[in-house]
Amino acid sequence: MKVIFLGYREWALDVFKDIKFHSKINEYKICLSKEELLLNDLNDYDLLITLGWSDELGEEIASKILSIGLHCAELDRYSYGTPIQNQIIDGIKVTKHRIFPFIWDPKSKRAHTHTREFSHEVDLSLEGSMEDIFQELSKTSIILLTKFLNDFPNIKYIQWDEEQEISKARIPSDSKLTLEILQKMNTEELYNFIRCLEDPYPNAYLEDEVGIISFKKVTFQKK
Amino acid sequence: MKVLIYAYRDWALNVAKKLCELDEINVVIKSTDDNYSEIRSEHYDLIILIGWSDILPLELVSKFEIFGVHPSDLPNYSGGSPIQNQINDGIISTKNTIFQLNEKLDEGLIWLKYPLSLKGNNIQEIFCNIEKSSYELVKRFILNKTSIKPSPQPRHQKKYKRRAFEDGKIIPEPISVKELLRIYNQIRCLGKPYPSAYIEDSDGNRLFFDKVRYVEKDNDDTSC
Repeated sequence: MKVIFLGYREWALDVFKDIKFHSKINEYKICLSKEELLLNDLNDYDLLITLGWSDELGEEIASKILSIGLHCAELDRYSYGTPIQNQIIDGIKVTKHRIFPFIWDPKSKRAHTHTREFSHEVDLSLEGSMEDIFQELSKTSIILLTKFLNDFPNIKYIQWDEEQEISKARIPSDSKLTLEILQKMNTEELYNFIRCLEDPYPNAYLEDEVGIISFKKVTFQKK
Repeated sequence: MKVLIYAYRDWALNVAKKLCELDEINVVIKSTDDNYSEIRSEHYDLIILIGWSDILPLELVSKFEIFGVHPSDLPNYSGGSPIQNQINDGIISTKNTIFQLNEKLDEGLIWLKYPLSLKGNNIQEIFCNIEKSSYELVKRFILNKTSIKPSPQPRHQKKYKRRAFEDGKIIPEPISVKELLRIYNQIRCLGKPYPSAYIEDSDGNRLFFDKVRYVEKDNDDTSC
């Protein structure tokens, strides 16, 4: 089969380097951007695999080729963007990493347009630093994509439950800590807030009249 | 000239190794004290301690000319934890001092000083500054010692104690002007090899701040 990959993050490119050796893949191409992807005749490929891709694919891509992505949440409420951060801040330590197929629906409010369907899932630990989590994501991505390719083209989908609750996508100004927020948090909650916003995300910060202090790395010691 | 250097921290060992490249001297590096048997062997023209925190036995400092590098503008900040104590006092530009050890801690003759910046977002960046300054200081001292006139230090100087783990605890106060700069200084002067600055909640759980960055609003530059 002919596979085209879309992703730019380092961990995603590392996964592609491994997955391209799957026995079912005869030909592959790696694209770092949507623009680069659109230079190709997508009808010529059997599958588009996206990794760490936070933008919408759009009709021009999703209608032409079976396109899959990986989503790292178990609950539907985390389908609206920044799922890792929102789950860590909510105190979730283990979640699910799932393969979902992209569709195109301009009315969808979710970060990626899908029908809440997934084909494969594994547990994903959200503990440690963002570096630890990226490493975990690489490992689980390889497992998931290998399973998907093993089963291809006989893929069966399951649907996760819809929730009315929405956990909104975070924006950079949400990284600001105030005295009010600090007073409400215990050290573990503060640890979770800071660690999920380590590089490459907008770091947690405090500001006064003179300057801004950004927290880049923290560790937690439970008594 | 045979020079014996005691150093164990990475930055201090880098200084010692770089000094080995000077044609004028023959350097021997010791990173453990071994009961200071090398000093007792009397084979050396100069004995220098770089970033060495152990206090030498009195009989050795009385018998031999031994020099130490202290990262402060002596007699200011003599005693323990000079880097942390200066940074916490808001000092950015200081001096690195080479002095002669005597029976009192950091109170011997001052031989030479060299500028030292305490800027940096973390202790490793600050160690980098200390490494550069110490190399220049020790090199100039070794090559020009015969023409340097040492000067005595005033008596009864204030002595700082070596910081303890608990001194890294941050007591958050209302966030007001300059408060963040104080917190930033408290964090950046610690971190490996020292225990990081931390906060502790009522259950005894601790959150350690390992890496931070500070930006002044008006100039948008990393600052301290």
